Amino acid sequence: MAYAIIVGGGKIGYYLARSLINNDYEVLLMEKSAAQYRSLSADLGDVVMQGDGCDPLTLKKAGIERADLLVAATGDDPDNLIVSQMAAHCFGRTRIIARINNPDNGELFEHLGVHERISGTTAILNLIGQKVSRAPVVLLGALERSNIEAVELILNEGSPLIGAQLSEINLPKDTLIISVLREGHAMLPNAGMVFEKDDVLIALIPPELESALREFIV
Amino acid sequence: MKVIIVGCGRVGSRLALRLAARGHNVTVIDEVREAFLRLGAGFAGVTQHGSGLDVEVLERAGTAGADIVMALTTGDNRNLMVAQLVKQRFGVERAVARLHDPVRAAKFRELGVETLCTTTVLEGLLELYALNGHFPELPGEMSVSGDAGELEN
Repeated sequence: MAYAIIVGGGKIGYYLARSLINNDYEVLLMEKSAAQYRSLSADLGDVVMQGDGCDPLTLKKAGIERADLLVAATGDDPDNLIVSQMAAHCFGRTRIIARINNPDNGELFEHLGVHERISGTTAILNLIGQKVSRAPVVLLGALERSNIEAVELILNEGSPLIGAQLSEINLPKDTLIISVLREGHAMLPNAGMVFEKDDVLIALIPPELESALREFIV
Repeated sequence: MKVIIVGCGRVGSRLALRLAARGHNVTVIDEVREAFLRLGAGFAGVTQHGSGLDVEVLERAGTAGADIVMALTTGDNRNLMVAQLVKQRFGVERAVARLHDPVRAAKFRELGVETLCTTTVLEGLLELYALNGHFPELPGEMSVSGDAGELEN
């Protein structure tokens, strides 16, 4: 059973703990404040431990040496940075994921060796952006430490691709269509597939192709 | 010398006054405007309102040209982040973080961050007092028992 330590028992830490438990993880949720610790342990019991995740002895007591994953999930970026750096420096082998509250801090975290990060703000902005925009190319996410990103290509009315067969169109080189969403169903693409209005193509592309693709599908 | 002090608390404000009085170019950053009241009217340096973790605030404070940055807020983690941020983002060579936690101070020194730990400093001074019956002489006008008179303004 994989073992995860979550530092920070706020909303994110709490729901993450529950979700990992449901996914058959062994979980330890670490919370610094006594009051918050009591209310969390009334709900989650032995899963919760009171302690400061910046303290190597506390991390050790929490069993970080056998942990597969540590998530620094507090609402404070300095705390998440120092927890991550401390854990990486003292206990090298655990995989570390840091929550970032202010997206501007991503670059510093990366530079300081905290390579896996989740920014709630960025995720929410992207989701809202997708809801409100009819932009034909929507970024779904970049693959960690690679030069490939996943995008949605939306075939709005007037797109030259509507009515065309996949095998006939010359997509820009290095574009890989991995799925086509039509009326809520995902289909695997095949050469004979004919595109329809409102189809959404999920594709893997190098980031620099984004604008070329926009030209191509509008 | 261009000095940036992040955190205008007791230590930050007194240090800022001391360095400015010696003719250094001092900028103090604090996110609580009222904190600058500690500097009094005679402060010869500059104040910059905002967070010391905010790159724009640091830019406005002239961090790129600073000889030294001292992170003296109340939070250990905040100070460690400020010290690493100014090095990484602005190429500041000398950045020191004031910490209360000796463990963190030691571990981050191993990582190349200069730290000064109030706990170990105090501990060392008190140990000398216990062994010798008096505090050691400190350089200049500093005194272990305090010097409230000099900075009243």
